This record gives sequence, C-alpha cells and structure tokens, in this order.
Amino acid sequence: MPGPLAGLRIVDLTENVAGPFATKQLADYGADVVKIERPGGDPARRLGPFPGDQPDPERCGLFVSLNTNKRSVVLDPGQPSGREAVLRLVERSDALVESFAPGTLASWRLSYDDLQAVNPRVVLTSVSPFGQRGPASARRETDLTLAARGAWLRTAGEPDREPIAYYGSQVSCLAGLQAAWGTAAALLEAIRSGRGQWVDVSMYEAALMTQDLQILAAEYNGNPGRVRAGRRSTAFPGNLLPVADGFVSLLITDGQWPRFCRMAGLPDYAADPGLATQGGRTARRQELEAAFMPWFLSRSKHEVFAVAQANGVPIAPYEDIAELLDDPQFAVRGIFPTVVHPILGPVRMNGAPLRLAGTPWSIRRPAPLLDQHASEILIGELGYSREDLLTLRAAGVTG
Amino acid sequence: MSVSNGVEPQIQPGALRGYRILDYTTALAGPRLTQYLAQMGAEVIHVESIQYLDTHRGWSKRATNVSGQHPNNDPGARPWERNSQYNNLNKNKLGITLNLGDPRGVALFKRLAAVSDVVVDNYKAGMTDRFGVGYTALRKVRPDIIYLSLPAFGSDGPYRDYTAWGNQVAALAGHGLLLNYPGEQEPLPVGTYGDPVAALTGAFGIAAALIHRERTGEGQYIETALAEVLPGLLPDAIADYALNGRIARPLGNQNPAASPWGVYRCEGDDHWVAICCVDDRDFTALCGAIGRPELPSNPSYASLPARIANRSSLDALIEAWTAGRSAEAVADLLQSAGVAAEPACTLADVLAEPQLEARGYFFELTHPDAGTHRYPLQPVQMSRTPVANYQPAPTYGQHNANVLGDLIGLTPAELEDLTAAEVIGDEPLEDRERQRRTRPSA
Repeated sequence: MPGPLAGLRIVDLTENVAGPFATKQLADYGADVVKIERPGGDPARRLGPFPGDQPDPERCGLFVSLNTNKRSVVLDPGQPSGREAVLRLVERSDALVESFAPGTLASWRLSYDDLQAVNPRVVLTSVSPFGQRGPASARRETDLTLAARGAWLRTAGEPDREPIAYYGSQVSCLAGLQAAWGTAAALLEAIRSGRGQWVDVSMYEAALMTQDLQILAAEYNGNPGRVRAGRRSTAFPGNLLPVADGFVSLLITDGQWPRFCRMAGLPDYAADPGLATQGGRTARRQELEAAFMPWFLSRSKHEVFAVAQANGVPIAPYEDIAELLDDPQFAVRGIFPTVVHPILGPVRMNGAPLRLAGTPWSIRRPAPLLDQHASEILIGELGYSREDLLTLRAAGVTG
Repeated sequence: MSVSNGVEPQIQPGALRGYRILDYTTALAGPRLTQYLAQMGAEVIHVESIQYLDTHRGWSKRATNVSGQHPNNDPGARPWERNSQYNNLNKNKLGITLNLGDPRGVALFKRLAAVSDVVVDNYKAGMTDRFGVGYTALRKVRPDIIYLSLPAFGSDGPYRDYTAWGNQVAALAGHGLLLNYPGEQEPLPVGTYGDPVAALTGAFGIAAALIHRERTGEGQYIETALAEVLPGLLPDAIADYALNGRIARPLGNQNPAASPWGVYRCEGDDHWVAICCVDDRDFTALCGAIGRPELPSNPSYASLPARIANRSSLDALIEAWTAGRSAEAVADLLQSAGVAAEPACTLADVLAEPQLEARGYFFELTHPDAGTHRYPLQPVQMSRTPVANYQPAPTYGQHNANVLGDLIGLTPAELEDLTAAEVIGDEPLEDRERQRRTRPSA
C-alpha cells in the first residue's frame, strides 16, 4: 500500500539534520523527495558515525538514516543554470523545503515570490534557527546553544552543577518534525485552495516547545519555574530507583501507592493512613527506603518491570541502545527495520514513528548515493538532453 | 456547518479550516495534539466528563494538591478553570461534557462523530471500544472517519496493556541513560518527553491522513505510540550501534568531534552560557573575543584534534573567563565575533525575549476565570493562513448548547434532561474515587 503522501513531489534543499529529518518524514510516508545536494554533498555525509570510524561520505550512518526514500541530484542553486534546474523542478513539485540561513534563497533569486512565479501552488518551508525575521535571526546556533536559549537546557542536571542537554541533535529533530507538520498542513490546504504559502519554522521555538506548559505557568504566577531536579529526590519512591542490574523509572501517585506496596510484598504500608499522601511518604522516606529497597536491589530491571506492570504500577527500566533494539515490544512492532544500502549492506535503523493503517510508512529505497539520480531526474523528468547534462557538469553546476 | 462559540461567529482562516475534530483526550499528549490542529484553524470539540476531572485541570476539584499552576498562585473559586496547563493545551477549542458511562452519552458521541472528520483518543488502549465509541463503531456512523489513538506502547505486542507516564516511556526508549554527565552511572530523571513528541508526530499523521482522504475519500485508523516516537530522535546513536556495535554513552554537553563545546559557569547564582566552536576559524574568533589571541598558536590548542585531546584544560581556561561575566554579555560578545553562544535562559527570560515578541510567538487571551495572559503559540508560522482570533480554553461545558444544541439539534428541554441526569454539566462533580479512574496512557 502506498503512503498518504504518494504522488506528491518535494524539492529538498536541506542539509545537516533538521531539514533532512523533515523531508524524511514526507518521504517515508510516500512523497517523492528529490534531494538537491550542492557540489560536495550534504555536510551530514561527513558527520558519521562511520563503520570502523573510517570517514566516507557514502558510509555515514546518520546520513543513511535521515535520507531514506529520497533521490539525489547535485546542483548548485547559486549558479544561473543550477537555479534554472531548481525552478524546473519546482514547476513540477508540490513543495520546496530548505534550511539555509535566512536570505540565502533570495540571494539565489529563489525567494518565495520567485517560486510562486513558476508554480503558484508550491509550498515553501524554511527551517532556520530563529525563523525568517526578528532581532536574533542572524545569530549563529547549534543544538546546544538553542537548547540553552530555549530554556530546555536548564531542566536536566544536578542543581549545583552545570545543566545537561538531551543527547545528540534533538533540537534539530524536533524542528524537523515541526517542519514536516507545517508542510503537511500547507500541502493539505493547497489541495483545497490551489495556492501555496510560506511555512516559517523556528528551531529555537521548537526547543521552547518542550517547555511551553512551564512558560504559561510562569506567565500566570510570575514563578521563575522549577529548579532542575537532580538525582536525589526528597520523595519516596521518587522518579528513579536502583535495581540489581541498573535503574528503573517510576512515578507513583497517591492512587497507585497501595498497588506499589502490594507489588513489593509489603501490603501493610498500603493500609497505613500516614502514607496515603506524597507528603506523608516524604516525611518517612528513610523508613520506606529501608523497607522497600531490598526488594528492588534483589531483582533485575526487567523482573521489576514485569512484576510492576502485572500489578498495574507504572515502572519501566532504563534501557540502553542495545537493549532498546532488542526489546521484545519494539521487535514485535517492527520499530527497527533493516534497510539494505548498496555500500553499507543491511543496516538497522529507526522505523515508523506512527502507524497509518490504510497508508503505511515504508522504505521503498535506501538513502541515495551522491548524485545517484541525476540522469533519471534531469534527463528523464526535466527534459534536459545528454549534451545539456555535460554542459552543466563542465560548469560545475552538477556532480 | 460550523459551530459558533456563542459570542461571535468564529472566523478560522487557518490551513485546517473547515475540519471538525472530536477531541476525546485528557492530560498531556492528546490535548496537545489537538492543540496543534486548533492552532491551524480546525474546529476542535474537546469532550470532558463532569465525573472525572482532566488531570490538567488539577488532580482534585479543590486543587489542594496543585501548586504553581494558578494565576498569582490563587486557585480561586473554580480552580479547574484557572489551571495554566489546561488553559494552555485547550485554547482555541470548543468544550463540551459527556458521560460516556451513560448510554445517552455514547449515543451523542456517535452523533458528533458522524459530523466530524477526525477523532482523537488518548485513553488507555481499548477503553473507547468498551464504551462502544472505538474506531470500529465510529466507522459505521462515519465511514471516512480518521481515528487516532495514543497508546503508551502500542495496541499489540507484550507491553500492550502496560501502564506508563511519559518519563517511564522516555527511560525505556533509550533517552534516560543518555541524559547524564560523561562517565557517570546513575541516571538523571528524564522528563515527560514522549507526550509532546507524540503529539507533534500525531498532528503530522492527521494532516497526512487528511491529504489522503481529500484525494481518495478514504479515512483510516492511526496509532501513535508514545514509546515509538522517541527512538527516531536518536538516529546517530542507533546508527553507531547498527554499524559498529557500540552502545552510546552520555556525553553531557560535549561534542566528541569538536572543542571547545560546552556549558560554562557565569557570574551569579546558577547562570550559564553555552559556547560551541566548530572549527579553527571559530576558535580563533573566540580567542580574540576573550582577549587570548595567543591560544590558537599554543601547540595544545592549535588544531582541532589537539583541542579535543586537551578539552579539560581548554574548558577551564574558558570558564575562568566566563565566571566573572554575565551570561548574556558573554553570548552577545561571542556572537558579535561570529561564535555560536547563548545564555541558559530561564522562563522569565523567555517571557521577556525580544525575538519572540518580534515573531508574534505570544498571543494575548482573556479567560473569564484566569484573566488576561500571553499564551505561547506553535513554532510554525503560515504566511497565508495565519489564525488571527484565538479563543481562550473553554470553561467546563461552555459550548454544550452550541455543539449539542445548534450542531446536532437537541432541544433546550433535552439539554435540561441530560443535565439532570449528569450526562452533561458545567462544573465537575465532587471528587470520586480517583484511583479507580481509568487512566490515560499518559
């Protein structure tokens, strides 16, 4: 079964993580995404990880995860003949997604107005650190600096030490998801109105999204917001507990406390009225730790997980990447499929983030090699001749 | 037919104008998902019951155990109408009440589904089926319905009946062990992270499913499991395991491929600045800005590999300079030299952020119980279909007459009967045995 976006064509002028994460969602749910790589290729091809840590732009694990189902053609949109080729593609497409610094597209005369002139239905989605306007829009950013300014950084870490950012490039990934959502909404609207529009995504605001409930709470009452919790909770049982082979995460409400006691074979505590509230349990934390911790420390995280869940208690193990990829739930659900890449061979990677029963997520092709689809696209679909292609190549416009 | 809010005709110029969403959700993930749709101009009807308070209206009607969520920390006479979380997640929606434990409530829900495009449900897997309002039942009254559910782990597999909050899901899905200082074993508590990500992913899924429906006339069932949206945010860690069998370890704020790169202490209590140098050019610019132009020629720091090898001493040098300066001044100075740097902002900083002001990120709304405040909007701005007239979150059952009366045609007498039977209402009943409540997935 084809995906919900089958038949839609997307011109992908994105690089690194945020933009490619957006177009990956569109591609994995069926769109035909033409990835235009500038000469030299998407810089993400050089980010790794590589097998055996040997850098090779055709063996980058991050790139092959983020660019499934896309086709690649090398074009330099900054040169007149490259720009012309981009516009020919735009004429035949539903959207263009880009992640350059604000003003870059206009400097190539590929502004929203230029795109509209050749295709009034086309949607332009721009992903940038702060959006297209505002006093910060020219600042230089990374995921870490955006998490810092976006009030996300402060939420994790020990209170007396430096705050800790979430792993990897998650601000970029979240911004990419926002861009996929905005693009899909604009495509839906364009189907009904026949007109495109410009979708402006701020990565900084995507980082802020993780905190927007706290932002309004601060607006309501002037509170500066919570201090990061750190490991040592004053409450029992708190948010994490050690077990024989690692740690478990938990959050026990007053209503779940009796079940928690029965789970650990200590039903007397369930009946103790002094322990019925979080405050009461916090006041007797030392006593409760002495009573309950032997049960936890003598069991593995997966034993605790199974017993807790059998008792309706929300506890789950902290799993590492290997445990996650081997987890029986994810295995049954097919969350980490194997994709065969022409150079890397079979590679496991992330699967469907959501299931659409009638129009499923699918991998139809692995991530492209650099310029793999140049002839297919330029000659087969845009009407260039072999001679034209040679001229473009000689000018350094294509691969 | 469009539902009026009883005050003035609602003009919704957004990209999702004209779509009606039946929003049977509570707590965080579901209301946040439909909030995305509401911010794109969809007509979202949030269905609550007077039997059970939405957790984000407060855990208890009296709000004795809720802190920090009410305007000026004052719960007021109707604390459930003053909770910032509910009022944030449900702005621009219509609000009705229905008791789905009552057959009349079920029948009305089906009549609403018959005139809706999308149903979103985030109660525990299988609960709407037991009430007779699951996908199978609703497809009979609306064959092209799009129905999205938000289970914690998915509707099949060994964990299908497991219960978890967002932070348990994040711990299981690989994020918990990666959020830590380098080399430290005991993890830090991880936030309720699956919920906002699942909400956003689900909103994308609904837009995609509506595109398919516009082109084919077909609806479908969509499932967004909280646990399944999170691994995708770790593509490099998963690739390193797939390619090299290497299990990612926490890096704190370090970038293994760059230095200096980190978070440095600044003047004041708990003030920090993030500074990132990608290459030699950045490093030279940084050294010039901090008055140490000789550092790039020091063999210990002259090349990227040398700076990575000598990360600790370099970080100490930088922190010695930042420690006596304000984080904001440090960031602005480094930015003027072209170096990526930002202060670790607080929520108060965010509320005063000029960039957000310039983008129109906040929208002022006046809520009858909570007063006038600025509400945050989504990070996506649409040039031709902006939504200009956001409405505050509905009070309990505020639109019962508009939706159940005007839209599906109940008479005032019928509405009175339903009120008397506690199928609908405009105030939560006194607290019941909340622990027996069927809990949502998150």
